[in-house]
Amino acid sequence: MDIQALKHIFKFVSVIGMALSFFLFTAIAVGWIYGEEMEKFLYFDAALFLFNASVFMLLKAHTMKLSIKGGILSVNLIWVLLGVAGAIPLMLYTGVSFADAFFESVSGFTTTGATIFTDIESLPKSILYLRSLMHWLGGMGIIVLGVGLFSLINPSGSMALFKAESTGIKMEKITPKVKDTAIRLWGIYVLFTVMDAIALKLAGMNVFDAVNHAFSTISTGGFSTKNASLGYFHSNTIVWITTFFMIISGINFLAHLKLFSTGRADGYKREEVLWYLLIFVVLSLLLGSVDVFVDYDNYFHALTHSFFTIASVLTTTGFATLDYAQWGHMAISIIFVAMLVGGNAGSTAGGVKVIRYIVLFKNIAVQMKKILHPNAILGVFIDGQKVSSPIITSTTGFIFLFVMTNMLVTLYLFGRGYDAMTAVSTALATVGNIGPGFSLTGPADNYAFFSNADKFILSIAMIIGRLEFYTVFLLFSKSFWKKF
Amino acid sequence: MDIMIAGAGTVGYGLAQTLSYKHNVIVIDKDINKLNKLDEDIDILVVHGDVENPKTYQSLNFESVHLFIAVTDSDEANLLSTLIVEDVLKVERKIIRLKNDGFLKSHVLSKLSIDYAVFPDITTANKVKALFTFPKANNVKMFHQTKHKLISIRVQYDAQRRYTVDEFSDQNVSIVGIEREKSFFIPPPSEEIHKEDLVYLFGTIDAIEKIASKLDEKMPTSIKKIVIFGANTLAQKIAKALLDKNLEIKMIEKDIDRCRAASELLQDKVDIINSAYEDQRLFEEEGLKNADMIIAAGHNDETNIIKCMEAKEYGIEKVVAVNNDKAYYNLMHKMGIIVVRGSKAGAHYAILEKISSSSIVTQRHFCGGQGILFMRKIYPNSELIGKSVKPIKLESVLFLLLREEKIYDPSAIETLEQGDILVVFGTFDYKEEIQQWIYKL
Repeated sequence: MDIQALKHIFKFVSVIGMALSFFLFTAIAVGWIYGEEMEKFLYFDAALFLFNASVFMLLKAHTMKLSIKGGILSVNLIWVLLGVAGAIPLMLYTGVSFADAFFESVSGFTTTGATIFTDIESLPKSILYLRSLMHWLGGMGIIVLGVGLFSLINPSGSMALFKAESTGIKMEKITPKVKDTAIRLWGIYVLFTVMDAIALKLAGMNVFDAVNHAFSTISTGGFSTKNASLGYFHSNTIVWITTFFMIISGINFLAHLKLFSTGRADGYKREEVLWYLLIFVVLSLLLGSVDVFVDYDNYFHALTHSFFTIASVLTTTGFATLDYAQWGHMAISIIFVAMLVGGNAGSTAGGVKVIRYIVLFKNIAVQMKKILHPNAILGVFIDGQKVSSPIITSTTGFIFLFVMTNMLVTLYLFGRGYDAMTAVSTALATVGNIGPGFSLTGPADNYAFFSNADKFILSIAMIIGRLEFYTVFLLFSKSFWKKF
Repeated sequence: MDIMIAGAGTVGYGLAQTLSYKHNVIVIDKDINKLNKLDEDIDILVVHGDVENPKTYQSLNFESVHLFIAVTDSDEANLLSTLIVEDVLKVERKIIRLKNDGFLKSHVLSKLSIDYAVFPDITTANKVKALFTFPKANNVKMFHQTKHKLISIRVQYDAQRRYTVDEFSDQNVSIVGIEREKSFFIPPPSEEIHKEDLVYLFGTIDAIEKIASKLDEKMPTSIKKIVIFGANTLAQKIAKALLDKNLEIKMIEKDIDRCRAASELLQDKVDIINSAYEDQRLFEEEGLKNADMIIAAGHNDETNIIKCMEAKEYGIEKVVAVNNDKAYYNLMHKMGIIVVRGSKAGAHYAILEKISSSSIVTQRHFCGGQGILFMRKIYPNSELIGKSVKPIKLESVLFLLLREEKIYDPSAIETLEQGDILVVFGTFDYKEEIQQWIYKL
C-alpha cells in the first residue's frame, strides 16, 4: 500500500465517519427528548465528527480514485470501525466491557440482532434508539448511503465498492449513475420505514417503540426495545404488520423500486421472489401444523405465530413472539430450514439467499441431464436469462465459504465446551446475521454468557457473513497484498 | 444529459468513458463481454440487446434521451438504429458515425433527421493531405470561422542559441502550446524552446511557415515519393485525396482483395503492390528506402508503429502513422512519428467536439487530448458588441483575440466588435473554467 492508495482510503473512511456522526447525533437528540444525560455522548460524537472532518479537510484537494483493492480494504475497515464507533457510546452508558459493546454494535450494524444485554428495558432510551439506528444504517448498507449522498464513486472508478457491500449476487443498476440508484434505494427504504412506523403506531405502540421496531424490521435486524421482543405487546395486529414488513424487506429492493418508479409490478415476477414466497408459505403452514397437531394450539394463534416466526427467521430478522425453541424437534427442524435459506438478493436480509439455491439446483439438474445426454447443449436459465458459468462458479464458492465459516465457528464453540445445538445454531445465527439460535442462544436467551474471546470471534463471523465472505476473505489472499 | 450510445466497441467505450463524468450514459450492444467490461470500469448503464431491434428500446425504463449516438461497426446498423430508436423513445439529437462517404452528398441523413454525421475516414484522409500543404507540420487543424490554422511542429535545429517564445509571437502568429517530455503546457513569453519540443503555432500560413523553417531544419520541404502501408478503406481514401497533388505513390497491402478494390478505385494512378508488410526486402527491392514519406495506415496500431520504425531505420524522415489507441500516442510522439488520428480516434474526438460545441462556441481538442481550444465568434447582433473582455487569471491558459485576421491581446482591446473571434487555449485540466468563462462572458 503506497501513500496515494492510503489517502484514497482515508478520505473515503472520513466521509463515512462524518455521515455516521450526523446519524449518531439523532440518538443524542432522542436522549434529550427523554431528559437523559447526554454530555459524554455529545463529546464523543463531536470528537468523531471533528476527527473525520479534519482528515477530510487535510485531503480536500485529493481526488479520490479507489482501486478494486482500495475499495475492498475500505469496506472491511469501515465495518470494523463502525463496530468500534458504535461500541463507545454503549460502553459509556451501560458500563459493559469493550468486547460486549463491540459485539452488540457489530450485531447492530450487521443486522444480526443478537444481544448481550440481559435486561433491555432497563437501558436508557437513547441507547435503545442507538441500537435500532445501527440496524437501520447497516441494513441498506452505510456505504450505499455514502455512495448516494456524497457521490463517492468517481465516474470512471470501479463498481467494486458498491458490489463489495451490497447483499446479493449482482447489484444491478436501473439508472446510468450508481449514485441515483443508491439514492432511490434509500428513498424506498425510508418510505417503508415510515410506513411501518405509522402502522405500528396505529396498532397501539407508542411513538418510540414504533420507530425503533420499524428501524429493526425494515433492516431485518431484530433488536427490540422489550425483553420479550414483540411478544411484549400481545397484539396480533402488530405481529401481522411486522410479518408483512419483514417479508417485503426480504424481497429484492430493485423490484420495489421498479414498482414505485414506473408502476410496473413485473419486478416481482421473478423466480427468486416466487420461490421465496412459496418457501415462506410452505414452511409457515408446516410450522403451524406442528403447533396445532403437536401442541394442540388453536389454528389462528398457531398460524399467526408460525407465519411470524418463519418470516422472522427467513428474512434473518430474529424477532420472537414466543419461545419457539419449546415447540419440539419437528418445529426446530423446520425453523432450521428457514435459517439456511435467507431472503432475496438485493434485499436487507442476510443468509445464503434464495437465488443461490435456484442457481445451484438448476445447475445440478443440468449436470444430471448432461450425464444422460452427453451431447446435449444445456444451460442454466433464470427468468429467461442464461446464467453464465462464472456466476455458477462463484455461487458454488459462496456456498463452500458459507459452510466452511459455519463449520469453523461451530467447531470453535463446540471446542469451547458448549453443547452441539448451541454451537451449530449460534454459528448459523451469527454468520447468517439471524440473531437467535437454539439451546443456550435461543429466542428467549441472549449472548451475555460467552467469554470475551468468543464474542470477538462471533463479531468477526457476523461481519464476514454481512459482507458475504469474499470481501473479507480476499484480505487473506496472497495476491491481494502483492504489488506485482 | 441522458446519452444513449449504440455500440460498445472502441469508439463507444471511449465516448462512454469521457461522457460519463458529466452525463447519464446508456450503452447498448449485442456483445455481453464488452458490456461486462464497461459495467466494471465505468459508472454507466449497460443494456444487452440488438440495436436494430425495437424490443431493445421498448424494455427500457425511460421514455426519452437527449442524445443518441450510433457508433457500431456497421453503417447499416447505425442508420437503422437511429430510425428505430426514434419510433420508441423521444430523442432530441442524433449523431452517427459512417464509413461510406456516399452518404455525404445524399439526402438520407436529413430524411432520417440525423443531426450530425461523422465520416472519420475522410477527416483522417484530409489530415494527411494537409501534411503536404505544410510539409513540416506534424498536425494541422483548420477552423471554419477563420483562415488561421493550428499547426504543430517538431523542433529540430542545430543553432547554438535557443529561441524564446516571444521572439516568434506577433500579430500574425502566436505560440499557443508546447509539448515537452510527454506533458503539454501553455508557455509564458519568456519560455525557451528546446530541441525535440512539439510547438503548437496558431496563425496565418505564411507566418507559420517562416517560423517552421527556423525551428525545423531537417524535414524535407517538398515531398514527392510516398509509400502507403495498407489498402483498406482509409488508406484508399488517403491515396485518393493525394491524387491531385502530383505525387508518386506506392501502396503495399497483403490482402489481394483489398489490392483489387484499391486498384479499381485509384485506376493505375498509384502503384499497388501485393505483399506482406513483414517482407523486409520491400525496402530494398521496391526502392521504398528512397521514399520521402511513409504513411502507415493499417488497422493495427502496433504494425503501424513497427513500419514507421523500419522506415526511420532506412533514413526516411517523415513517417506518419494512423493511431487509434490513445495509449500509444505518447510512445509514437516520442519516437518521432507523426500521429494522425485513425478512424476510431477520429470519430471519438469529432463526436465529443460536436457534443460540447454549440452554435456559438466551438470546442476542439489537440495534442492527444491534452490541450483544449475554445473559439467564439462575435456575430452581428451579438450582445457582446461594445463590451470589454476580462480574461480570468489562470496559469496555463492563453487568451487571444482575432480581429480582421490579426492577433491581439484581449485585455488590451477596449471593446468587442462584430467579427471578432475570441480564442482560448488551455490544458485539458482547465476545461471547466474556460468553458464557463467563454459561455458567460
